[in-house]
Formats: sequence, C-alpha cells, structure tokens
Amino acid sequence: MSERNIMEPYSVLGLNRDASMEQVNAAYRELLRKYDESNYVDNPLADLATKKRQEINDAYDAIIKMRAEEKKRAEDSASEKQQTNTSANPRYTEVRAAIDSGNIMGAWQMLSSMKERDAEWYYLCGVVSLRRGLYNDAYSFFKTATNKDPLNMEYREAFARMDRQAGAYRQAGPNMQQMDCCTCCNNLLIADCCCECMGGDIIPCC
Amino acid sequence: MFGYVNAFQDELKIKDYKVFKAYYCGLCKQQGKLCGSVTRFGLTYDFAVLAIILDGISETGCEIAPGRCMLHPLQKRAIAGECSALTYCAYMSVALSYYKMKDDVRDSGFSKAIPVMPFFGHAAKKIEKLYSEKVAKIKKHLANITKFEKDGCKNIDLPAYEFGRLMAELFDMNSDNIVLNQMGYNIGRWIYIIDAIDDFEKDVKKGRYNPFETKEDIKNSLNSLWYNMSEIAAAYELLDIKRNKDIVDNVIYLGIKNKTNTIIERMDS
Repeated sequence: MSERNIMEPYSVLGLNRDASMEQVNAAYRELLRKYDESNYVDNPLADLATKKRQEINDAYDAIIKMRAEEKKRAEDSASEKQQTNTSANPRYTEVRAAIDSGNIMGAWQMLSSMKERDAEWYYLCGVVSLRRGLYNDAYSFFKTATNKDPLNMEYREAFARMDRQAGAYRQAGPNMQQMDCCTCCNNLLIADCCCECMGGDIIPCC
Repeated sequence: MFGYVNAFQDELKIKDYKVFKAYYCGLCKQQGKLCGSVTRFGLTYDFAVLAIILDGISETGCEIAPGRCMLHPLQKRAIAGECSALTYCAYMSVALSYYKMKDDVRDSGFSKAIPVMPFFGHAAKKIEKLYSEKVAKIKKHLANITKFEKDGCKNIDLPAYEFGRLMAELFDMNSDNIVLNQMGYNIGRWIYIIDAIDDFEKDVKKGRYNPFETKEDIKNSLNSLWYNMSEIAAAYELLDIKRNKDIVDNVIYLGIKNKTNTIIERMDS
C-alpha cells in the first residue's frame, strides 16, 4: 500500500472528502468489480490487481472508520454542549453555591433580580422557598419547574419528595375517625369497666 | 387563632390523660398566681401542650401532686407543680392573649374581652419587663402580620411565615434549641393556615380579611399544608424528649392531623 493511499483514501476511490456514504459505497463496489479476480485469470497483472483490490479495501475501511470517529466526536461535543446549557448559566451556579453555603437570602436576591424565567429558575426559587419555610410557594415553584421541563429528574424529584413526605405523615399512626354516639357509649362502658377493676367508677348504675 | 394544638383525647391512655390535665390545671394555677386570677379565663390548650413539651425536655420535670384549685374547690385533683416551663408558658399565654385582644379591639372596635382587658394589660406590662427580648420579637412578628392583613395580602405564605416565626420564638424558650425553633415555626405556620381555613366562610360573610381568596385557593394549598405537618413531625423526631412522650406523640401525630381533617371536611360539606 502506497503512502499516498494511507494519507488519502478518498483519492483511491476517486472521490472528494465531502462525498456521501452512498457515493463511497457505489465507488467501492464499482472498483472492486473492475479489479475483480475473474477479470485477471491467468493474467500476468493478476498480482497487481490483487494489490489494487487490497488498496481499495483498505481505503474503504479507512473511510468507514474515519466517518464513525467523526460522528462520535460530533455527538460527544453535542452532548457536552447540552450539559453546559443546563447548568452552565454562571448565575445559576452562583445561586446554587449560595444555597449550598446556607446563604438563602443572598440566593433569593440573586433570583429575584433575574429576568429570564426558565425551568431552572423556578426550581431554584422552589429550593430557596422551601429552605425559608414558605412551603406553599415552594410547592408552586416546583410544580411550574416540572411543567416547564418534565424530563428533568432533579425538578421532578423535588416536587415528588414534598408529596411523598406529606403522604408519609398522613399515613402515620391510626387513621382517626370522628366518634359516633355508639362508639362513644361503648368507650364509656369500657372505661367504666376499667375503672371498676381499679376500684373506681364513672357510671355508678352499672 | 388559638386552641388548635391539642391532644386527640380519645386516643390518650387514661394515665396520659391525667398527666395532660395536670399540666393544664398547673398552668391555670400558675397563671392565676403570677398574673392574677382573671387571666385564667384566657387559657388555651396550646400552652398546656407547650408546657408539656418544654417540661418534657427539661432535666428534672415538674412534680405532679393532688391539690385543690379555686375553680374546683370540692375535689382534689392532680396538678403539676411549679416549674420553669409552666411559669414561662403562663406568662406567654397571658401576653399573647392580651395582644390578641388589643388586635381585636383595634380591628373591630369591640371584643368580648374588653371588661377583663385591664387585668391582662397590667400583667403584660410585668411580662414585657421580665422577657423584654422575647416580647419585642413577638410584637415585631405580630406587627408584620397586621401589616399583611391591612394590605390584604393574598399570599398565604407571607403572614403564615410571620406567625411561624412568632411560634418559633415561643417554643425556643431559651433561644438555644434549633429543633424547638423549627418545630415551633412549623406549628405556627400550620396554626395560621388552619385558622384561615376554619374562618374562611365567616370572614367572607362578614367581609373580613382572609388570606385565601377562594375555596379553590384553599384546596390548592392543602398539599403544602400536609407537607407543613410532616415537617412538624420531622422536627419533633429530633427532639430529645425525656418524658411526656406518649402525650406529645398523640398531639403531633393524631391531634394535629385530626384537627386538620375535621376542618377540611367541614369546609367541603
């Protein structure tokens, strides 16, 4: 394989760098057909043809590999870009740092002064409100953040956590029912029996 | 505003019920002794509960012994003896009753309590001297609430926050217990909101201020109200309570929950 071919696999296939994948495949098939073994049976150039086919195959493999790498790089940088979009707003970073360090009012002031109100803004307002004890505000903020960006796990979790904790309290302990007069009388009778056991009495006639 | 924090008595054991009553009687007696007998009519269960909690975390705890009281002269009953928690609660109860009466008179020009107000006012002066710092903070929060009410504030979180902070001050007797502070805040916030829900219909009829505009607003705030209650419990679980635990458990997990359910159901019907 010549050095030129390693450097420039496209020229082996007679193509430009910006050729489409269909063009690459077509050229590859065409060239293989052209230098096919059957065309060089008992031909002194058969070795040269084999060498040529080898070149073509190497060039094709090289192009496939290069394109796959290019695609991966593009995807990586795209996802990197996306990541920086969600939390690289430097003001939000500052707000989060303020919250982490316990400077809740500082974080609140920063948030109040912002004009752009996206899902993260609502979420962070929710966190700040929750820390200040303004639960109703916090609940609405989390709800809005979740509505604006339903796929964000951080927002969804914050919203769900409030309901979960509230639900756990509601479930804790026996569920109290209002007393009707039957249970009330029963309880009195039981209380009377207990009192009598202990030597006292609340209902003297029984 | 008061009377919401109470035990769910149906579920109290008889021995706990007796202790509960003993604190209530003890508080009443203390109030009479320290602030004058007339002030005993301003007593609510909330402060009995506070006394039970504060005495429950104190090192020694008060002594409960049979005794007589003026209101029930014939029968001896268990009464909690003098202790720092009861003294503190007696003073705070009187001070708050007085400020509440003053508010009522200012708002509507009338209060059923007008005839007894001078007695409370006299005691309040004494309390303001004894607990100047605490009283100043309480007054500040009350003033903030009044301001929100005058402005017709429709964000329930704002006045509820102020009342929460007020209760945080009350609970945190020596201003050194962050758990009591947090518990007080959450109880105060709950009281303010449950009171607003309870009074909603009456306020609408009489054209008085209520932080809720519609029943829909109330319904929308219930989720965060339940969260609020869960925070009371979360703080309470961190409290190093040495006695009266069964009673306070009952208040936190049954009394408050039951009160909430009763008021919400009444609103729905």
